[in-house]
Parts: sequence; structure tokens; C-alpha cells
Amino acid sequence: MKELMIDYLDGNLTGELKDFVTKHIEKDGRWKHEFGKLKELSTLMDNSIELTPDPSLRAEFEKMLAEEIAVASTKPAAKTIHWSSPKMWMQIAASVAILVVGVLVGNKFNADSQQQELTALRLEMEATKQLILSSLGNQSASSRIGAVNASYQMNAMDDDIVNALINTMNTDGNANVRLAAVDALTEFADEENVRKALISALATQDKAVVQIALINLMVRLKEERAIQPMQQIIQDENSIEVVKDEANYGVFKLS
Amino acid sequence: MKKMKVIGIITLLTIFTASITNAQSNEYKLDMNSGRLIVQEVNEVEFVGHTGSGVIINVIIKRRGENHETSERAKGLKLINGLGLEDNTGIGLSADKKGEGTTLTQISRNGDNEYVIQVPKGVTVVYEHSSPHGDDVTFKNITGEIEVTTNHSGVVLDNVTGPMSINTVHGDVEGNMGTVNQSNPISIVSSHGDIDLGIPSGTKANFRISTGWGEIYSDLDLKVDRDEGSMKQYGANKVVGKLNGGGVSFDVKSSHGSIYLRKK
Repeated sequence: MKELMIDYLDGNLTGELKDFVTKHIEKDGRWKHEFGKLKELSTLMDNSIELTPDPSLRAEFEKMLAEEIAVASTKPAAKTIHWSSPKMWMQIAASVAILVVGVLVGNKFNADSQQQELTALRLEMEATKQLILSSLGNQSASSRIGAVNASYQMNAMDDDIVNALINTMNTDGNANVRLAAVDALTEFADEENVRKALISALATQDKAVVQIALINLMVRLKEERAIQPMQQIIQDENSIEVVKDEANYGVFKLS
Repeated sequence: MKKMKVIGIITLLTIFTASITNAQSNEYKLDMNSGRLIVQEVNEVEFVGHTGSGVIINVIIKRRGENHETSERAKGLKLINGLGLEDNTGIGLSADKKGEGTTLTQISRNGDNEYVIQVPKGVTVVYEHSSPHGDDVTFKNITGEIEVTTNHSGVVLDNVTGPMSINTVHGDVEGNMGTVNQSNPISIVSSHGDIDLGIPSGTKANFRISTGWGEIYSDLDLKVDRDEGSMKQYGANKVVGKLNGGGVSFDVKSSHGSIYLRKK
């Protein structure tokens, strides 16, 4: 469903398929809701952050922002991002500073310093978050691990990041990156949606190293709901022997 | 008469030596100084970083149990395998240049040709191996990025800097780091193998070391971070600590094996 909607949003669908999606978005409550969320995320990712500064400053601010975007978008996608370099964090700080100045000056006559602090914090988180989300597609596996690790620095885990981490855990081409995502998600394993995602990943994972780590995690979490996917692994003829052994051990420990 | 005898003996010895070793040395070059070099299912390989340009592959061709007659029979025929790949390099490998880089695949599943692949600085080395027939893969003096996925093969590191992502199900990972690259994380994971690494004493890194059922041994001056709030410990044997004030992210994980970190 999601893939269709993404294509629809990008204008890649034509003919019958396009009509199909349009109809469903209008008629079906679930599709409507999903599409709404996707559209929101897409708008966010298109870089237009909603602010309400003084209107006279908006033009100036938008000019500065456009310049920043132009500079950022000229960088080729294949470039690796150096998560440990001070320069990277300086760039984030610089773009945040520009946004913050625009907002603060605009709010001059509504001076509420606590509100300003909150806004500044939110903007910083937003900037970091966008960087993380886009870096999860980088070609270098190490860079992607850096992106996953950067999510630890987000003071509050938000849904988009959690979903991106779950997606990384299930689909990233490299097992080390998947494991880094599992580790990051383990921090939030007490949240039901994260817990559920970890359990269902167990059944669908195809990388032995990750499966073994997930089974061990379930045992440590004493998560009995993991018994069922583990038994699925044991009964599946195509499962790798070493993973089957681990699953057997897991079922034994959890029963 | 004596001279003839000597020449005769030398000739005989040369033929004799050539036929018992039954070995030849061959070379193949790739004009590549950036991008990804993906090497798959090569059983015996050592990657060596060099300061020159291009990827240079040297091979010592060993044909197991083969005698002169068999290699005569194979003359004019090409080595092929079930993936539809064929030897288009002349050294037992199939080379496939795609968008992101070049993929080299060993044709013979059981073959034990010995390859030494020299890589220049800007190339990312990706090594993938799934069968039990491989020997340890070695990385020596590599300063670029390394990605390794193996099932049974062990990994030997000799003066490498990272960034690296290494994962193996059964293999051990051992060796020595060189000056650790600070730009992007290092992650070394094994399910059943041990991890034994020498770390230079000045290395700046944030270590996250964990094993499921093994032990962690170290003589590094790690400043262990015992903040309970940040890293939840769910019964795993886990050490989180900074070396020399902290630096690049360095993850070392084994599910069933033990971890040994040595000060160099």
C-alpha cells in the first residue's frame, strides 16, 4: 500500500493504477489516514518547516533558507557523511542558528523566553532528524551505522525515526547496520509498538547474524510472544541450521 | 662432455620442478581508484593496500589433484559455474562492472587459487563469502572502508584503519588496528566466533562491547560509563566505555564467543 502511495505522490502512476489509488484514498478510511500521514511526512521532507515570524522578515529568511538548500542539494548523493566530524555538527548548528534567529526576531514583541527555548530545541531536533532520515540511504554501510547511532542523541524518539529504524532493521543490505538499528530500538523496547516490531522482525529476517542476535534479545527480555516466530523458524525447512539451533534454545529458555 | 651433462641435469631439474609445482603466476588489473570492489566467494584471498593506482590482482593458480593430462583436456574450454558466470579475466574470476563498482566472483566453488588483491586508497572493499570452503580472509594496510560478510571464514586484520563493518556467523575476527579513522563507525560482529583485537594505545574511541554468553577481556584504559539510564542492560555482558576521551563509535559484539581487546 505504502509503495503505491509513494509512487502516487511522486506522480509516477498512470491509468488504471492511478484511478485505483485515487479511489481508495477517497473511500477507504485506512488509506485516507495513511495517505494523510505520508503526505505530511513528504511535505516535511520537502524542507518547508512551518514558522510564523513577522511577515516582513519572511522574505529575507526564505532567501537565506533557499541559499542553504541550494548549497546542500549540490552535494552528490554518494558522498559519505562523516558523523564524527565537528564540521558536520557546525553545519547543523549554523542552519539551526539561521532558523532560530529568524524566529526569535520575529517573536520580538511576544517575548516569552521559555517558548523561544522550546522552539529552538524543536528546530534543532528537526534538523538532526532530517539529516538522519536522509543518511539512512547512504551507500557506505559505516555511514548508515553513523546515522543510526545519531538517533541516540535525539532526546525524545519520535515516530518517524522509530519507523525508519524498524525499516532499517528489516531491509538494510548490511547486517551490521541492521544490528545497530536493533540496538537503538532496544533502548525503547518497553514501548509496545517497538516491542511488536522486534518480535515480528524475528520471523521475517533473512540474515543469520541478525536472527541470532534477535533471538538472544527476546530471551533476555523474557518475551514469551517470541516463542511463536521462533517455532516458525524451527519448522521452516529453509532455515539455516545454526539459526534453528538458536531458536530451539530460545524456545527452551522462554517456555 | 661434462658441460653437456651439467646442461642436461639443469634442464631435467627445471622440467621436474615445473611439473611438480604445476603452478603459474598471473595478473589482472582493474583501472579503478574509487567506488566499491565487491569480491564474492573467493576462497583464498588477501587484500593489501597500496599507494599506487588501480586494483591489481595476482593469483597463484592451484588446480587440486590435477595432472598434466587434465589441464591438456581443458585447453580451449572455459571454466563455468551454475550462476551463469564465466572466467572472463583469465585468472579464475568473473569480473562484472556495474554502476556502483566492480564485482569479482570466483568461478570454481572448491578452488583454492591464492589471490592477492592490491587496492588503492579510495576503493571500498566488500568481501562476501558463504560456503565452508573459504580460508581466513586477510586485510593488510587498508585505509579505505571495509565491509565483510562471511558465514564460516575467519577475518584477519593487519594494520587497518576503518571505517569497517564486519559480520560473520562462525568465523573468528582477529588482528591489529592501525591508526583508527575517526570519520565513521567501526562495527565487528560474530555470532559464534571470538574477537581478538590489538588497539593502538592512543586510539580515541567510544567502545560498545557486548557478548551474549561469552566473556570480555581487556587491558585497555577504558573509562567505563556506568550510567544506568542510558544503556539498558538486559542480561547481556556489556561494557560501554571511552578510550582516551572518546572518539569514533567502535562496536564489538559476539553472541556466543568471547572478546579480547589488547593494548598495542
